[in-house]
Amino acid sequence: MRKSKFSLIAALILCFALSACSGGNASNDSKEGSAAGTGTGASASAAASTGASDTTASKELDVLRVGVAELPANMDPIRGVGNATIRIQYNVFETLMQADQKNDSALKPMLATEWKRIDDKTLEVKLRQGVKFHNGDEMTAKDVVFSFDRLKQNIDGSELAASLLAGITSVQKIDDYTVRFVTGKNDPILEQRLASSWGSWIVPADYITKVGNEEFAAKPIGTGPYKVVSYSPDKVVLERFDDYWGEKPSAKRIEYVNYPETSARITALITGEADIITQLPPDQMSVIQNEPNLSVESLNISNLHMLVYNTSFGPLKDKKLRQALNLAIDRQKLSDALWGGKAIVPKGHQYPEFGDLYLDDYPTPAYDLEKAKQLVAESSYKGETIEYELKSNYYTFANEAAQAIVDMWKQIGVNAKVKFTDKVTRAQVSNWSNTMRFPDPLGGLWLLWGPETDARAEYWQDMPDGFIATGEEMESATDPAQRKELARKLMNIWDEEAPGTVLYYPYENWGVRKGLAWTPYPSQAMDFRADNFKVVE
Amino acid sequence: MTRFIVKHLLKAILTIWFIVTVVFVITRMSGDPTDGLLPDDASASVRHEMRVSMGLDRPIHEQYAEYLGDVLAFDMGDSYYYLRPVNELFAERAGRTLTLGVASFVIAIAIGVPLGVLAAIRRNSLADRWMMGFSVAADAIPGFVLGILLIFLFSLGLRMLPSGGSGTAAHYVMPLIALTLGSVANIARLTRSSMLDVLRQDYLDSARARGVRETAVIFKHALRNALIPVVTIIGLHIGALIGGSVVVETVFSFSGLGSLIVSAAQQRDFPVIQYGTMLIAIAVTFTNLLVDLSYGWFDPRIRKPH
Repeated sequence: MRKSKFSLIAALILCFALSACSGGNASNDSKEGSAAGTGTGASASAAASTGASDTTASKELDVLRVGVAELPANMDPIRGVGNATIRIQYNVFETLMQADQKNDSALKPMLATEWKRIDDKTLEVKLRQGVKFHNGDEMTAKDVVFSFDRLKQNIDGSELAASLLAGITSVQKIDDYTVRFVTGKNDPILEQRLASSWGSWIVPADYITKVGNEEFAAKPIGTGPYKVVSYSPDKVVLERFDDYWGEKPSAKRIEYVNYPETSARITALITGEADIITQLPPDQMSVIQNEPNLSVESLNISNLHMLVYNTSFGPLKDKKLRQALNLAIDRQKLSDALWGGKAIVPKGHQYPEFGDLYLDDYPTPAYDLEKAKQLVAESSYKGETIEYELKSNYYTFANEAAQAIVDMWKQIGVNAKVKFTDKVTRAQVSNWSNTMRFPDPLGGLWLLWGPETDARAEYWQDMPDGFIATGEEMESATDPAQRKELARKLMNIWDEEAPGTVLYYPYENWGVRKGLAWTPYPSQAMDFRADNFKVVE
Repeated sequence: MTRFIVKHLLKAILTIWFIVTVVFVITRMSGDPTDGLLPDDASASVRHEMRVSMGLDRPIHEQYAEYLGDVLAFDMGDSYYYLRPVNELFAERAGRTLTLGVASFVIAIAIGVPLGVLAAIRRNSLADRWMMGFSVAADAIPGFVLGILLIFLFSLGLRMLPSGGSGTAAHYVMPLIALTLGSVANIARLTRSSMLDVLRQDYLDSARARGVRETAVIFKHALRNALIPVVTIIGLHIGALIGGSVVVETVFSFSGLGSLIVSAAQQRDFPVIQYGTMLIAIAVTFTNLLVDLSYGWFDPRIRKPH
């Protein structure tokens, strides 16, 4: 007992010291996966670990306290969107469609009851009737039009949300409960965009017009099951909204309390000041697991840790060398050594949350030292030193991974060295993470590596025409079978050209009090609605 | 006296200007604020758009000229992260940090000075040794280690106090201890050694010879003189209190000015960092000014021209 207490205290001190030195590791890590919000696949592991069963009758909870590493800078759902925001706003605001996080991102009605394509560029949406905003106003077509028009107003902090929904050229009110969305080009994933936690929230037109954007950012109003009671630097308090159109959630009140330091969050969970905490580092899991009344929920998030190679300069100009580097990385070994095997090696640059579009038969990146050596021999590489740039402690375990990968490359005769920098220039090798924004290659590989991106401008200037043509075809293709083949072709070209490579899907941990049945989502939204949060004892 | 004040005041203003300028340049050199505000896979054009809206695309001398103009007009700008005026953000949190700081300051003097005097007049007694032993230990232990030890004892062990947050009076107890203990120890040790120096002086013997009571000798004659170096240190402590609150507020998730400045540094929220460091600079410079002036009261010889 004495020893375990001593190790706990040592762990807490070390934990604080490390996070202090690394300059906000927690907040940086939190950006991983911050963009996603729409889809997710089944998260069976998480559901199983609570020991919850759906047959148990749900009880009510007076207050649910959630310890988070950061609170949103403001409560406007389109300004400064990120992890900190969607953890809370998922319960306050609603989108037209909901991408079912437990069912391969399948679309479900939310504020819309039905929708249909009028033509390739027009989508008609029927709205749910009798939905009330938290101030009692009814939600109608006017609010929907207002919510999307607002993205075109250049409101500070809305840049990213606006860029993801920029394809929508107009939103027209047909009648009070019918709206039409028109896009400039064909957009097969428009419905998924409208389901996104990334800016597609419906906000009240009259209220915002009356109080202005600044007041709305402090006192927001939505249609969700919880309304915001107060918002301060250390706490956001939500209260159950009695006039909610859907099922009544279990917690009467939710308090999100800010504990920026990892050690403080862990302590708060142990002492009972918090019921759930976010961002539990993998090396601190055992502290929580050793407590009898606590458990850890873990989940691979919709994010990919990866490497970027600059194909335009130096030795990496040679495709054979890049392919050799990819073959020489033992990704499973990295996962085993650093993540306890829990980081999953992906089947190419895609996410399981793609649902039907996910290519389950696509191979994981090959690990073949002999072939790698042969490719190095065939390449123009002359033993030059290659720099592997990264920002120290930016991604979880990325420093360790960099050292290990450099060593792996030594085995095939490639000299690389790790270069820690504050500003990653992507001059040669550098690390990155790619977050899924929509459950579709258009929200993954194409969005982050396509011709409109930094890739084409900076580090993949010789992007082949075939890649561009395939992606452009995919942008307007609607037939599922055809889209699947195009997705495969896109990944094949990317793998063959090797402007980078995927390493693994990282995973996130949440500490949870036993007796609470709650499932985390890969998007990192925290869903406390009736069907995802239950009190079981 | 007026000349003395004016000269020191000008020096103080120059110091503050220098600090503000250095911080301005360093923040601009520290990197790109959009790194902290946008996800890592945001595109260059979105980043650029955000930089333009913050005015960071312009040459640094233009930014600096505008910044100085704004400061002189008492316009501290808007936080990049919170998108609100920085003085509002500081005003919201200042109460907590000031309460913590003032309480800590008062307690540190109220306990530290008497402890030091006691240790000096009971020199080499058991009490003196215990006190000095404690002082060295308390002064040496970093605030964040002490904070975590307190959390371990009072929150995890005894479950008496909340481990973090800033809602009620109970939330102040541990941060106050963590912030104050080192100061108490430091002030006690300095008072002791300064008292010991003074107690050796001949004028105390002459006071005793004149029949002044021993308590009056110690508190009126000795302590007043012994306090000069102590006041200097106390002045420095005001700066340290703000610095200390940065660490202590972080450990206890106490949302005051300290934690605001820490998170601003992590997010590269330049306007908040600039305003925060400027406030600290002003506080420290003016405390030093007051300390300089107070020497005159403690020792009239300092005031007189040589």
